[in-house]
Amino acid sequence: MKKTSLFTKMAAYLFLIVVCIASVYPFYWMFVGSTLTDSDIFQFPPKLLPSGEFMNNLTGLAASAPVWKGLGNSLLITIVFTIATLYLCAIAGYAFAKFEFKGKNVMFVVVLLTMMLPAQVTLIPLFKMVIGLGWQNQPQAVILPALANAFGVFFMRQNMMSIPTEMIEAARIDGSGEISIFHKIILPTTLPPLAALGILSFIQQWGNYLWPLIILQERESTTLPVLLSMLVAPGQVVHYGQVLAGTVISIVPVIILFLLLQKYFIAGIYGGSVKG
Amino acid sequence: MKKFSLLLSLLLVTSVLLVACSGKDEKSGATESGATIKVAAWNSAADALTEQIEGFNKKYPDIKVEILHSDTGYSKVTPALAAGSGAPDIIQTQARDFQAFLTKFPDQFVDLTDKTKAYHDQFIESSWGAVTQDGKVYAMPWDIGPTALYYRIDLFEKAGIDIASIKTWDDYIEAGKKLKEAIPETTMTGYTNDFNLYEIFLNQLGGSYVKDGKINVNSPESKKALLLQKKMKDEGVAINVKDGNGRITANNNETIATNILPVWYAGTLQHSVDKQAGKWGIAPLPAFEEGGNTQANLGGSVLAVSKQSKHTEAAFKFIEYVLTTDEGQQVMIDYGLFPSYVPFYENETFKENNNYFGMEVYPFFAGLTENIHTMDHGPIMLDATKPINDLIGAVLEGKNVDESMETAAKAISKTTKLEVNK
Amino acid sequence: MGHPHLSTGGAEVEATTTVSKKELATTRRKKGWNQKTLAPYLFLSPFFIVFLIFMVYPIIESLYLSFTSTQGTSSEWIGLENFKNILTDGLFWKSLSNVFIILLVQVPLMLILGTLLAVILNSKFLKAKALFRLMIFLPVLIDLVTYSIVFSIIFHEQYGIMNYLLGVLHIDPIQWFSDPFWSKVLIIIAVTWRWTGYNTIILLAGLSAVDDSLYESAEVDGASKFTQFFKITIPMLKPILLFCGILSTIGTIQLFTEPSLLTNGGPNNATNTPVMYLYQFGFQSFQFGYASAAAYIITIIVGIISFFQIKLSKGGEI
Repeated sequence: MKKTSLFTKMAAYLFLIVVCIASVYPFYWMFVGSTLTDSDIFQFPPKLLPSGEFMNNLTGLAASAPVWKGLGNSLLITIVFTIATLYLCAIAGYAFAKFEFKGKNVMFVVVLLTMMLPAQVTLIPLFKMVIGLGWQNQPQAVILPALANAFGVFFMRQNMMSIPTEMIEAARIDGSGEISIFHKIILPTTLPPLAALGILSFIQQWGNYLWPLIILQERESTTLPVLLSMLVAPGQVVHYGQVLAGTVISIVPVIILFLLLQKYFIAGIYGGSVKG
Repeated sequence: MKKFSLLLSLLLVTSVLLVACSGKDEKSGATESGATIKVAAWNSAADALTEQIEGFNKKYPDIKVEILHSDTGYSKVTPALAAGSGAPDIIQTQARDFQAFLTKFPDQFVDLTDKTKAYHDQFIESSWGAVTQDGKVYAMPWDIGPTALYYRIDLFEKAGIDIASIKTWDDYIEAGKKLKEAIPETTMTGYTNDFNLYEIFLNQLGGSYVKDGKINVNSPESKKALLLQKKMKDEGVAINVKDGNGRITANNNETIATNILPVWYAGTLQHSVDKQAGKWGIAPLPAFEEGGNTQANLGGSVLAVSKQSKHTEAAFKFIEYVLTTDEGQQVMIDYGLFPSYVPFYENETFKENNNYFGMEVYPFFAGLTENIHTMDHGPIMLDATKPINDLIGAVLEGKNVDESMETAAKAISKTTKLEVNK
Repeated sequence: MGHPHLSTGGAEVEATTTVSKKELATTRRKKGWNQKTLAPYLFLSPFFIVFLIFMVYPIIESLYLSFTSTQGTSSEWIGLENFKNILTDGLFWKSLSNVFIILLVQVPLMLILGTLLAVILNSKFLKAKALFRLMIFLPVLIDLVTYSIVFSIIFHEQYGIMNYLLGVLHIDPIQWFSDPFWSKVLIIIAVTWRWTGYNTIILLAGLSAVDDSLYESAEVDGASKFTQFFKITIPMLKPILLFCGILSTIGTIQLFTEPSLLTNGGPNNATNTPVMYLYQFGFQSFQFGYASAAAYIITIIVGIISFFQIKLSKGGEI
């Protein structure tokens, strides 16, 4: 195999580093801000080195809002949602990608169309329904509606189109049932896109704002981002250091998840499964 | 690979169980004992109400109170009002929006006329307008926002400006130019991308958004208010600081030397600009002409009882406690909520000296409430926000004022179906 | 995607061996055939149950609302009046033209950047891949408080870092927030900053599915990296690129967060967007009927554009 030239490598590294600095700077600012007092946060030019206020900010935050409960709620809602949506989207995406059946095109177009609808429009009808079900302030009020995840189905379908059909046929000839083909062959071969969808779904739900705000009305039942956003609004004293400490806490789970899942992105899609 | 899918299905099952269980817990926990009332309020108002619960329960041990932290955009209460179910018992709205709520959600608020009658003389007269419709009272006035000029004593001294000599807005602009000459990196004041400054000027001039049931944003007062903000911008004495965060940055970095804002900004300065303690003074607003009105109100909110509530009596008792007792108002003032309940102005807590400003801040502002013009916001404010912001943007950009006012009036008329004043 | 279908060959060979085995194979295939017909419906059912209850039903109700004057709690059937009013509102068209201008620049820019980053992140020579991947992906995790403050600091017209750097290059300070043209540029920069990493990750997942042997045989044929990129990488990535393209188009037409956070639609509506328009009517003045109608107009526009995107990408197959 030909070696990549040194010049290409240098150019690639340089480009990556510039992009990374731009990507990371706001997060670095957020981290530094969480360690400063409020008036220092707004000094210009911005401070570049962290100071020692992080724990003060954090305890102040915990005293003014139930952040740890909020973190727990966020984790419960997001984890349950992510696992459930991965399964539902994978199996539905598989049906759309690898089967021919009556009504397929109509169903798929309907799914696509809902993706194009601004989400705000279903809020009021959905609210009436969920209140009617008595789910106010309960996690399933956020989880179940989010499972109508057209994006996820579309995503899995696009990724499963490239699974070789002969692999599935071979399994059928060996006598495997359709369900077991899905579990034993399709799922393992689609780990990279599943991992990608997992992280995308996780962050989508983690940052989900408007719906939890409306339906999880009690502070004890709501999510961390909603709690934090309540602390920042015009016309009041905003404790920025505390809020930034909260945002630091809030992004930690997502970063951990990303680090755990990211190795699957590079796992070859056909690795070890063609023969099995 | 097998392990992965096994793990996945296992997690799925447990998580479904988890959700099912947490659902059950919730139901069994909600056993009824006495009335529970829920109150939707935002920010520091919600914090203040939360602190009130203890004192309230000493008087009414049987009434349980829960505070729902809401947002200023009402997204927490409006779906419930529209759906006709799921609303909290007590709802906070901005005073200027309440008429619009009454119009858009008719039959959603309890008539409080009889219950509030006894308190009529104890609240600032101008605060009842916002909560009254067809002679009936539908909410209790809470706080108000008397407005003043916050200025940097030290920077004024450095530039040789005497605050006492600033009597009119023209004086203010001249002083601003002088400041810029002496300290080039500092501008006199900043405005944000909203209509706060416009509303302050409009109220000071005695103008209104609605007059005799007709849209009035094209009035002579409106034009005067718009032109003053434009003049400030054009003369280089006012810069755009974008929003509240931008204003804090500007104050901290001495980019601006004054703020034209209500009483609650005292709290923001103390907290977010704490390093400049002792450097800030407060003076009444300059007038439009010498000897003219120097008082204006911006902001303030009200508490209303939802018709969906099953405990309207209990709900009103809570409102009564927090707004018409000294104990209640004492907590409010700790959170910077300036009362429209006048008897509290005589309270010792109210008169306390403020170290940051080196003066009795609240009594000073209480003195700025006596001549505030009653302002008719009409039922249009929820629809008018965007057209009015656009109006200000257009005027500042140099568009024709009369035409821009007509455009805004028409836009509001289109959505509210109200006529435009000629 | 044109994968050869090799289905029946194996079974025929098998059939000629022994009778018992042949019988077995037929029963299997028969059972498989029945299962195969029912399977897709079974597979789709869990998703579709949730989808029908929590998506389709609310959509039908809001579709009904769009033909009414629903405002707060009052409601009346008014036919197409909402649609007529929106389509004759200059502000709606202005906001639509704004997102189209943003769309035309932003989506190609982001997809090119994303593909480039994905290819670099996928290349063999790169060290510390995990770290780079994380850093590239970070922006999408930004919370709105930090997002708003940091961008205001960087692009501040008087003392922002960006204008300072431009000053070093002897370029006059840019009015990022108060000039109609530059405020659009600001929105494009902000959206690209936030969403490029997200698309990079999707593209990266797609890239890792490309069979290495394709590149190896191309190497043997003496194809340059450049040729490989256009002859192998891009065609193999096509379904994913199209996916990202459609999604970004939808996202840009439905743009809301950046303009409402950074410019509030200003100056003078230069960065106002259709969803901000919808939101203002639906959630600031509670005209749910009008807002629903606006939502359906936006949906139809997005639908038409996506349709052409699919048609224009060769083959017409998503």
